[in-house]
Amino acid sequence: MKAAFALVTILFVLMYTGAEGTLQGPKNDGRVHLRWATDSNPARDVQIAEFGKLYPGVTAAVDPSAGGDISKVLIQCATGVGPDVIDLYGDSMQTMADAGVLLDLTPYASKMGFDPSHTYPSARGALVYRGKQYRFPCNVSVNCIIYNKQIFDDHNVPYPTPNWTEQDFIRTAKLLLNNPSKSGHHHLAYAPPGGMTFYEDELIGRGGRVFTPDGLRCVLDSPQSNSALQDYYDLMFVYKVIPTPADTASISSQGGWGTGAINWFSSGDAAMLPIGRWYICQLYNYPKLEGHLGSVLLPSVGGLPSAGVVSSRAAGINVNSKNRAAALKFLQYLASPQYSNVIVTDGDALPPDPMLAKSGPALVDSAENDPAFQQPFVDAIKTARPIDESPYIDADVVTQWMGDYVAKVENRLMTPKEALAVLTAQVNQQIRRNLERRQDLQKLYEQQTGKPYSSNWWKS
Amino acid sequence: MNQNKSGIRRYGFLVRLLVLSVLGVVISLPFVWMVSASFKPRAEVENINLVPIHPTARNYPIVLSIVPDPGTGKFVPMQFGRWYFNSVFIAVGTTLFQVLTSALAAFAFSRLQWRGRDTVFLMYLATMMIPGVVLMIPNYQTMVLFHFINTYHGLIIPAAFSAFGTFLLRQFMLSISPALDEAATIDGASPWMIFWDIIMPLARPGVIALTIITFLGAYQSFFWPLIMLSDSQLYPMSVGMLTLDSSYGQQTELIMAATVMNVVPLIVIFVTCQKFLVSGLQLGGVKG
Amino acid sequence: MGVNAVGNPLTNGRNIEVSNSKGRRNVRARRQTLIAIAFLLPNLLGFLAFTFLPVIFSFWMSFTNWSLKPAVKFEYVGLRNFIDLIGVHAIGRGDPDVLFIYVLSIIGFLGAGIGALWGNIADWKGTRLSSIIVGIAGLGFVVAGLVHLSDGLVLGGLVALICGVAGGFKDSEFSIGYGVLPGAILALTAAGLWCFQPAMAANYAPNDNYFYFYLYNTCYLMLGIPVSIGGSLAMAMLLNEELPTGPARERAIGGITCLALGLFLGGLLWALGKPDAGLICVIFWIVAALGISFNVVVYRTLFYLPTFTAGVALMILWMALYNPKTGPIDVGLAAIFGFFHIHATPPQWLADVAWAKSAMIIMGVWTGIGGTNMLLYLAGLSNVPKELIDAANVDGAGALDRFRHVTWPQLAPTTFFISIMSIIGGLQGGFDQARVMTQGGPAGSTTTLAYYIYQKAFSELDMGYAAAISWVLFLIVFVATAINWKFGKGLDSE
Repeated sequence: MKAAFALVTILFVLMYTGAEGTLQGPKNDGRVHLRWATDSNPARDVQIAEFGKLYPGVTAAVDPSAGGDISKVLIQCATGVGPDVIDLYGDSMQTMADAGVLLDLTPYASKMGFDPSHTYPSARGALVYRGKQYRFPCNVSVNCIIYNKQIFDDHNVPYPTPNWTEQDFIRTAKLLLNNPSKSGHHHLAYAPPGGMTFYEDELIGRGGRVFTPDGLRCVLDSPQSNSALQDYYDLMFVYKVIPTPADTASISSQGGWGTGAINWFSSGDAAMLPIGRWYICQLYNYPKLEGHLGSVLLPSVGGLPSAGVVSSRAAGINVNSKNRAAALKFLQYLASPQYSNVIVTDGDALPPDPMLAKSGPALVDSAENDPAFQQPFVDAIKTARPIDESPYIDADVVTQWMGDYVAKVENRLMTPKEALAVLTAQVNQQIRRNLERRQDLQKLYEQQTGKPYSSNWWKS
Repeated sequence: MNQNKSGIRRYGFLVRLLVLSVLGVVISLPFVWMVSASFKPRAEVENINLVPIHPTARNYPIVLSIVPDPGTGKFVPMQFGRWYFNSVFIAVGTTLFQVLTSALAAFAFSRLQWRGRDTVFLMYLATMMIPGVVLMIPNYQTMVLFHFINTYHGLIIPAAFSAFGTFLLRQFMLSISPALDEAATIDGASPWMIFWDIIMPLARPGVIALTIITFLGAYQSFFWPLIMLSDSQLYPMSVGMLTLDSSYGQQTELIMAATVMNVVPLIVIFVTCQKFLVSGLQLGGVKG
Repeated sequence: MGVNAVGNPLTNGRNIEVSNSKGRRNVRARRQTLIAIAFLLPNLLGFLAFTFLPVIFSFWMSFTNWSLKPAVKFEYVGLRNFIDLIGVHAIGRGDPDVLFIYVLSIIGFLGAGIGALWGNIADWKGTRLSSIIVGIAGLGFVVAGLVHLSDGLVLGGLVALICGVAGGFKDSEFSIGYGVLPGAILALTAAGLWCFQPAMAANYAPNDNYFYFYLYNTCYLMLGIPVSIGGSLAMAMLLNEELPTGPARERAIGGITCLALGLFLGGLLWALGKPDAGLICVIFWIVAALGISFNVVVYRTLFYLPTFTAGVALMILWMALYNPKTGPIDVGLAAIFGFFHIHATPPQWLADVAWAKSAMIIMGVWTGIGGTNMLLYLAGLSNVPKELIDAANVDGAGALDRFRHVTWPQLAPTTFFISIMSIIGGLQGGFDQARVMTQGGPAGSTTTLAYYIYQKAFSELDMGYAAAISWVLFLIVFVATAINWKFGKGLDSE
């Protein structure tokens, strides 16, 4: 027994020295090495190489440990071992900024050329939180509908027209479902992108908002919001144009960009798919589709111009980063035309620099060289709007709750009106509770409204 | 009568054999599918067929970064060898410390009389009912304080103490007759000698059982390494698999190849050592 | 021990002047304490640093609003976290009378529940009748739940039904006594709670919209535990005796025959254009051949494999298996449906709100059925004294009677241990699966309380609230364990 323990102890000591000894420390090649928390998309290598070329003395390495879960990066930053540059999606910025781990970029931004004026007007708001800029886009995305011309031909359905409306969409979808197919294959008219995506696009398309401009009240029970969710419900259960969760493969939760909708479309089983331009960088996987794709703006609703959600993957800087100067240079690089050029040729959504996305022909890239395909994305970004946030409640909590209630509607557990009413009440209750308990929010309230805070503020 | 009985016995034996074999096949089906999927090319992974129509062994070199991924033309950024080593190393370290400290403590709880012994032991037991997740937060803060984040010792040391291990070994040791202690003491043995030369050999089944359980637990643990590590060189396989799945979640054949490589060594180890585990649990038994 | 001071090794031969035996005992006691501390120290240090102190710390945290967000000013909030978690607030004016009656009913319900269990153990008069009342009430709730499409009602009703049936089959007479009271009160309060539910829901809303839902998830996911334990017992009984296969020569012949048969049949199927069936056929006969040659060891190994290889890798495997479009389970089900012309689509498993938890349960049962519980039962079975079984056989007992009266009671300590560990694990668990496979699941349907704690702590950085949740969870685990303990002790004393 003693011998066994002794042996194992020796083995352990050996392993320990071996393990520690072979750990490669940061490469000492004279350059500063930035840790960039992003997904391990192979396209990053090209982007990093270009960065190295422009800024000798600095380079970056992908740190995939976030794995889509911002909480891990958050904890790392909060305890001082975080990455230098952090990719932030949508609501993550508010969480990270509130946690105090993001560097306020405002003092550096205009000097170094990455203030909001350097990107699309519609994407500017998402860079700023409570008056301070915290990030700059790596890419910007807005959904259009891409369609498989082969399936349209197969069912003898005319292609969507550029300014089509919701009614046109329903008509086209029904034709796709009902017309006999020449090849004998049954196709889905529309690959479901998930309730949240659809609902948010519809909400923006109707000019709706999540909160009032001062962020004090949730307005998800507005007529626009009700109409948006009701529309989703109708398309699914009344017109039966969108497959219900119970009918088909729904969102696969396997990581990366693996949504079931993309699979359905890419395998040639669905005719239409709402997605951003970043689909192009997946095209190499589906050679059968090349040359047969068309794209069109999201259908417009209620006489308003077509509008969808603009989202961006934007990079921020860890406030405790030891390589702050180098990290700032990285953000400067993101604003540069060279970086945007890489994004354009890679097809990784829209480049942050609007100058390179002025027209369809300008966006032609390696995988999809039909300028007509690129044009709708250029147009969409002009009318797109982001989903708004409120400083009085965590954005990711709101997103989670919205997702829950949309899922309830999808599964016919609640009607859209009920769901939105309950959701709005829930969000407002939480806002009230947050205001009650946090003095910093009360100060913000007083700044915004000019009135002193009182616990009955919401009754007025 | 005898003939009848042996006839029934034969019949019963066949039925049992049949049932057991069917159950065996059912339980191993997911593994079969896993192996089969790892030998399928990209285009075929979505089909139901168990036997690949165009079997390919290419997925394994791809996952091991020997051959580039044909889709992207680049190498998969995995470090399988290193991750394996890390898993084994961390598990060995954790097990070594846990078994040692638990055995020593179990000895103190079972063979020695001292004031407050049972109260302290009850404290140990009570803490087992606390959800582990909530201990992570203060432990993480402690790790930050000692600068143990992103290090090997930060992974091994907190996991090296277990109330469960102490509990298990205490139960085993309680079943050893105290007369042995007394005889040894009369013969002039120090408690240390009693521990090593008498108690430990007798508690061997329990020690082995604890070793296996601890090793398995440490090998499979993923949450603590996940929040502790940011340097991918230190990842154990469990965390490595997670990042592999989120980056390559769509490429089932690669994921399955990685999973097979993760699981097969465990199977081999188990098949060769399964005698010990079972005998350990059987001899000790569990006293309610 | 009757050893004098000089020759006592514990005093190392030093001549200790002691005036009385108590003094000597004190010296010995202190010496033993020192030795004990020496042995205990490494473990105790670690325990204090990484378990005990964090526990105290988290207890203290639960009374504060500590958050990692710098903007939140730290302050003590007393019981506010707990009230936020399990309390309710009035919608509009509320209705205090309804609230009062409701809370009273809950207390009555819980008390009656514990009382019913206690009475069952202590064998009060009338417990059999009481169990039957509970069982009937449970049945009623199941029906009501199915009619009103309420999962909670069905779940609660099932639990009551099972308890009622179990208690109703006890070997005690039908009598009327005080024992009937708990069961009757339980049924009454349950019915009352159900009747008052709409009034409560109209006037009060829970403070935390998700706590009770996640509690429900946690309990639902524990449904697999009885199946798993029962399955483990069945497996253990199947594996308990060696297969009577005879001498080595016979075994070799048997093994080779099976192998040859398998290869032949498999090859046949392959040639007939069904390679998958062929493969399964070959595997089956190989397993049978191994079973004949090496006996139950083979099956024990096979059944324990899922437990042994459990971990992230297996969870990823099951995610691939459950994939609605490409995973073999759904593709296979679709083929079966097509074959029998059933017009249904296979469930979406992890992507479907209604099926995600069931998917987890199936995976859990597959992993656990041949696992450590089976080994523990094997150990327990081997400890059943042969004389008892022989005596039962002599008395002419059939297999079922033998099981009920000899095997099952002998296994009681093992079952007791397994059930306690399973309940503790089940209430605290579900975290790994939620984190790796579903991130809390479609619309929060696979989020358990453990995962909720993680969300609150690591996503929202609300450490105080997360600590409060964990202490409420601890309380639940404690009560469940205490009940289980009492129950087991009661069985032991029979």
